Amino acid sequence: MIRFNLRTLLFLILFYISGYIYFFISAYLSFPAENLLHIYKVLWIFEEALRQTIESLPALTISAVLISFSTLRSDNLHLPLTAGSISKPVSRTLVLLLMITLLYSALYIGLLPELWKHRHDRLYSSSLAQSYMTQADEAMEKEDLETAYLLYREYLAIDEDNRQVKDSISYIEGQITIREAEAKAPKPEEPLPRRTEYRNMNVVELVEKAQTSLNDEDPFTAHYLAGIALDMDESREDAKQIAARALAAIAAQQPGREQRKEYEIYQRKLKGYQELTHQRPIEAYYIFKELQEEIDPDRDIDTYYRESLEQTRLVSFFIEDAENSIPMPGIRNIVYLDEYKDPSEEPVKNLVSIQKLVRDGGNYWAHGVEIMSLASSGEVDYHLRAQYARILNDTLLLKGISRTDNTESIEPEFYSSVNPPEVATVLKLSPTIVQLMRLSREQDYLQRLSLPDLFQLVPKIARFGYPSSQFHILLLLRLLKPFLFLILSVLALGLGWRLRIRGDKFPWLLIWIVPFTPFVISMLLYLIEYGHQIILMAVVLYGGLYAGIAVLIFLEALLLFLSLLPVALQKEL
Amino acid sequence: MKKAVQHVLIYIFFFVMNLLILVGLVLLYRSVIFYSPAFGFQKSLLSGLPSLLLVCLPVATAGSLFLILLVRARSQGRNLLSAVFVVITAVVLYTGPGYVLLKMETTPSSLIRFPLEEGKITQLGEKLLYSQTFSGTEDGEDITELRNNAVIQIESEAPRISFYPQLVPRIREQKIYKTDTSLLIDYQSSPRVTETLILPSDRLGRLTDEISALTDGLGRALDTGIIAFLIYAISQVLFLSGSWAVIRTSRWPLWNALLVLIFFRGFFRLDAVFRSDTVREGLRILSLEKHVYLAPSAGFLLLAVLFFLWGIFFFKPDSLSEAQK
Repeated sequence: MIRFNLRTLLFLILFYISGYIYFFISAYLSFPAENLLHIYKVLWIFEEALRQTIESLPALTISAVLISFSTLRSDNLHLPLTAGSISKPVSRTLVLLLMITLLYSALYIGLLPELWKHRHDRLYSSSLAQSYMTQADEAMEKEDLETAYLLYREYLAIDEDNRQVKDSISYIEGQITIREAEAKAPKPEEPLPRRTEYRNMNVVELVEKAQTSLNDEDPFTAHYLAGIALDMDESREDAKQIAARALAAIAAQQPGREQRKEYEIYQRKLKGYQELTHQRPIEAYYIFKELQEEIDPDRDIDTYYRESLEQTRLVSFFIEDAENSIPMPGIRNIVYLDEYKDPSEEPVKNLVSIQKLVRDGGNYWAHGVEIMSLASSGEVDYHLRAQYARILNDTLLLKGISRTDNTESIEPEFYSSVNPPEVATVLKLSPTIVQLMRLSREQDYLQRLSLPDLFQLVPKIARFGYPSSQFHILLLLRLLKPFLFLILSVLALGLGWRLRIRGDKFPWLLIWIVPFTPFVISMLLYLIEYGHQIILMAVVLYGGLYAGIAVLIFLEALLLFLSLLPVALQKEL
Repeated sequence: MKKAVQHVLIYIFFFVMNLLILVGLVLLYRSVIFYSPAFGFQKSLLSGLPSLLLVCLPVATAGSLFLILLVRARSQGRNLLSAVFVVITAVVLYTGPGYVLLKMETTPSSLIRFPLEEGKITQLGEKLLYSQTFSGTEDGEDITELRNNAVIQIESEAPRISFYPQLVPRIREQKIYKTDTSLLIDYQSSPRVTETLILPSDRLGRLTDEISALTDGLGRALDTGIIAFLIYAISQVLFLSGSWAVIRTSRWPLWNALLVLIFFRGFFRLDAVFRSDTVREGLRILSLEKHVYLAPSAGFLLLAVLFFLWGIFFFKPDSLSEAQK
């Protein structure tokens, strides 16, 4: 008795391994060195080989099953029958194909979109790094060392072990140090005007001046002048007295200064508190931050600093954090229509374009945000651009502030407006982050939309300004793949049996066709898939998603039945 | 004789089914490509049916001539009579409808392509267009103005969004103009997403181009004369049926099945090769440039003869093999 399932499994493993090796070599030979950083080479080759193997799994599986069955010789086959019409070895093989289909579905739904994402991210990071490098080199040529330094640092954020760039940075640092040293070269010492001025006085003048200062309640100057007078003439009793009285006056002032300082701190705390209670958290943040840095730990200051920081983060972001996310890869070219009603029940219609959406830890950053708000009449209400924006829950924060410098901030710029309208810098965001990531219009975004993504997006896509039909079609095409995989694998079993070698001898001269089988099968598969795509698309456009699902189920059930027929009709099987 | 008639009937069945399936798929493809959210499915899809049938004719013939091989392989006696009957039927079904379809005046296709939808964003290549409302002729047959539009340039520097209160679509030209008559979007070469999903791959695109070239070749042959047309069509049928001898040589049916696919694809590729500049140049060197139009026919006939010779020398009928045993 031949154990078909084990034989088929063996062929499957052989084809999968051969497929992976083939794609590995192909990825190695076709590594796009001009567009990809060298640091990605190893991972790129491994993952590209894996991606292409997963994409080619249907062709590899069908070929393996076909070859496995078509190379059987019928003379020594004795198949035990089950209660039904299909023999036990064949039914076990069918179970194996079902399991392989499940595995394929998991890889296709779960892993493949991730591999596409990795591919995209690496290409994007490489292009970004190359752009930094070009700009930095240009800056170096122009001897703009500061710009070159910053750009090389940005480059290193992506390719951190690049020796050449590290050397360039070291060179620039050296150059900058030399420049600074030159700038700090000792200058001819200027005479201390006051001291020199006082040194020109005689002792009597100094004592008189000291007395006047003491009378004018300036004990520091009085003590200083008396000190100089005593340096000149130690025997001057009047100078000694003035010095002593001045010192006493200084000592007497001490508590008053502390009290004033305490009062001043109290006033600043109060102001910070008032800013916070008057919904001006950014102003409050700067006040409490300054206080926290200036004085010893203070429970009030710590509490209100934290509170103001939290509230600041709800209405703005720190420019430094946004800038850190520049070199990170992300999802690019997000475009959608945001329609909702504002608190005053006025309809809002915003056309939003985000150049890049980046995830940095738990924060989401939008780079190159453009919003065109359309009035209900259809005309433009305002059109703004923000270099960065932070996405926080369901809001888009457009205002950026410096963590330390309260004079530095970035706010949206307005186009074609003589008088920029009063627009809140905290805007409502209708799509969730997950939905937002699916609204990309990048060239290969269709490949990166997995089945779960589509399930999430499809019910709401029309709200974001896109015709739903294209996403319905995509959903059906994604569903189609596992169905076709199973159907064609089962068909390959029947066909393989039907196309068994005739006669006693194995035609070894034809063995070379085996490696070419997956290529021919992949062409056939493409045609079959293409036919499905046309039918499903026409049905969805005509009758909608549910009609498409119904036709898909009917068509695949019919095809599964037809694929099982060759197996069921074979008497031997 | 009975078997031969059976095979002829089966061939006719395959041919008709193939033709219907192919025409159905091409019609569906056209309905999807020319689907317009504003106009729905177009009523004039069937206007170019003769030319559609003509394009599908060689594919259906080739497909049926290979499918009949399945039936002939099953029958015990692969008699010559049956093969001759099938080949004659194939020639008749190819040349007859081909001649009629080529002689039919095909009305120019009046299909229009207008992928925009009111209040929705449509991607047209690198641009996205949002139009709030359309206005057009009173009968709703044409759209003459798009109101309150925003165009988003995906890969460009800010500002990426531009507003146009009015735009003028010229649907026949597949272009959208600004009010100052300057061109804004040419969507002829910019497929929208739904279209990109079913645009044929490069490989399939090459095949369809070759099929179209073959059909054009039939038209040109008919323009030269009915004899040239018949020679061309018959040479193709003889090439396809002659390949049976090669296909059935091996004892491994899987190899034979793969050969069928290779011959099917190779048929269209060969026609393109026979029309290539290289062949043209070769004929020019041999001072045969006047007969360049005969090159595909001669090429197919030559290969058909080689196949028949192969069949004579290598083919052993099953009955004979068994008798030898």
